[in-house]
Amino acid sequence: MPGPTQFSPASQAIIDGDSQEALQLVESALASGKSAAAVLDELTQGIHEVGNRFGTGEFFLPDLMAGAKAMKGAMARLEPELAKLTSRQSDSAGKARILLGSVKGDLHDIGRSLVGLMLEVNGYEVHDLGVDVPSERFITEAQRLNVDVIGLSSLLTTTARQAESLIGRLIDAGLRKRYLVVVGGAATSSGFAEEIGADGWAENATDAVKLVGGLLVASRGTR
Amino acid sequence: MLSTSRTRREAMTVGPFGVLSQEQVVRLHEGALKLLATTGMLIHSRAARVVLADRGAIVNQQSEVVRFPERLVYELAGRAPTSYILGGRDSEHDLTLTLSSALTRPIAGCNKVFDLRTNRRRDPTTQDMIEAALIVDGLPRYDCNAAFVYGIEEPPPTRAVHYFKILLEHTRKHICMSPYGPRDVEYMIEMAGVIQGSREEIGRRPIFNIITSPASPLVFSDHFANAIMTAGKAGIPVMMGSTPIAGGTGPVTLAGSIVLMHAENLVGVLIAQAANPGAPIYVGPRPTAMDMRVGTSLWGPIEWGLASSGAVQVASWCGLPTDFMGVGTDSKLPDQQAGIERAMMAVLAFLVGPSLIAGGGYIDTISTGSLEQLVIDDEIFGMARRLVQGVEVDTERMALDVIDQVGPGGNFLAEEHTRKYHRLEHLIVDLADRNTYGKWEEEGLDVVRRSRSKADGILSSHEVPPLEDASRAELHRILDTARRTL
Repeated sequence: MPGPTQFSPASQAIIDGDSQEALQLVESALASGKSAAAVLDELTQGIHEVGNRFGTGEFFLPDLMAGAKAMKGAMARLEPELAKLTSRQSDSAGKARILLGSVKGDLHDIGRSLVGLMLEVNGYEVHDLGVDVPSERFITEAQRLNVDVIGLSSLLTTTARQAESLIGRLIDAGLRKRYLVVVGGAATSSGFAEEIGADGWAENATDAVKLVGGLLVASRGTR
Repeated sequence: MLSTSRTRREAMTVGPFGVLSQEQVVRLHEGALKLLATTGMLIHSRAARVVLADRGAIVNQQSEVVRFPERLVYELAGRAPTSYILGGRDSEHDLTLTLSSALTRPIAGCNKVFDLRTNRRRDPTTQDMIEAALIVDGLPRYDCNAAFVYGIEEPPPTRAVHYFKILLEHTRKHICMSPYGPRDVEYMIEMAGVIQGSREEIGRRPIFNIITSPASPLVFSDHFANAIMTAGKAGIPVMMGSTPIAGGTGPVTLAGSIVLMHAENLVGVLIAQAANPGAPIYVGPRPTAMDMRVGTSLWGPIEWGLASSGAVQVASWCGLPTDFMGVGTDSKLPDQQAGIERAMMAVLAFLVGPSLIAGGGYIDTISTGSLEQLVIDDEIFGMARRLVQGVEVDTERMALDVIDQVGPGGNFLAEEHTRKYHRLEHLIVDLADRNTYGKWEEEGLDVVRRSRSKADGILSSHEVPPLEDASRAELHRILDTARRTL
């Protein structure tokens, strides 16, 4: 096992899930003339470490949540500065867009919200439709928002099949290749994802970030 | 690296729960007093008989039976300390034993080791001894280490001394030894001196304790009585471990078993206090029972839990530190029977709240030590301790503010309250499988195989700082002397 890595104070604040400290460090870094890109770098190192520690079992869901919340707060302060840096580009240029929702009949909220938060703080533009989302709504919103990924959550075996029907509708509408479709939640599995023709499955929020990142890289250039 | 001390949350708070009413405790204690005054105990050690006679015990020189007037029992037993230090190799690992400290330790003295690769027991090797020492040193819920399985490479006369040297080299925790006789103890004291510097330091924070056992019914062997006196002189704590077999070497009833164990253990205490007033002792009742189908002595039945609880209760009531064999089984494997028997016993042991809780790692009616079981018992200790900590009710834990803030339909995962209290209120375990089916399926292991990988993990990462070369050479010299003389 490697020795303890030294993290910058901003990274450490994210790891500690200390929202106040993180925000304050962003403020003072910007005030001292540090570039927003450099600050973003430190924050990103922090949230990656949070993900790593969750992966090794050292961190638990509440720690993951706290880290993500601290990251989200710090990012909100940092984003206008980042936009100035890239002022010639459109506001959210370069960010992949992800549409999330729990499928129709499924009222489970917690896991999907955490996935959304983790994706967001890892640099994605997330649109969360909430719970009990009918297939038609996923499709109309995906088109309206021009998303890259549709993420479906299902915790009930009785609702999991909704994901299959959504994929069927996308095929019927000739839209299947336009979107990456991923699934998650207790009623799903990698086998299930394969069976219904989804593009991927993740066990938890940190795996979801890895999954989406990997799929987007793999699909770049084909679309 | 694993932490070797318990988290604060798991700090000791145990008992008191009793299987006996106060009236029953007194009645059983008085029964033992009557036995000691009338039946008496056969004590083969002349030296012990002499010091007891000096204090007023009635000794029949021909039969070697010693009888104890009630007044003498109170006078001598009253000298036993209710609290003392169990020293570690460094002072950071020192422990304070009290009447209800519930310090945990492995079994001492198994003569076979379970081999997971063959699912059979085999003769232990020196390597098994070293591995067990390191694993226990690395497991956070074991407070003490012990001479777990005696390897066969060393000839029997010096096995205990040889084992003690290995433990001194491979653990920083207090060591529980199961010696063969008083001469072993002398060599161990000499070895302790190499680590601790002086006799005063050994007496102040003894790095090891020894287990002795009267031979039921009502016999004290020469070598154990002498070992008690030798250890006591140096301030080494001694366990009096009466082990009657109900229906064989003891009465078949639980009350009869408790009375006999209490009487026999008291005699050990009296020998210790007559020879060395204030000598640290503890009593470890071992209420085995004869299986009336096969004639074996049982170390895992539920009555074990009842009689141990009762005997611990009676001894604690007398102000004597106690040791409850709180995890054990007659199963030949670390299987479901092992899990069932030890989980029930551990819950009782922690509820009763003795000074020490023993038994970690043994299966097969105390004959066999299992490294896998040793690891599983660390988790059982954690669970049982969590159980007796109970439910804390205070304003912050009732969480009215948090519930109000989250409101109907919300969730608590993102609340700071959740982050703060989940570790405090919920035991974090790593052997019990709590994964999703998919994650579990990746390895597909049961708890025994997971405990094996945890043990392997400890062996590959856990380090006990080596002793200085000069100390190791000195320990070796003492062992060589023992080999020539024992």
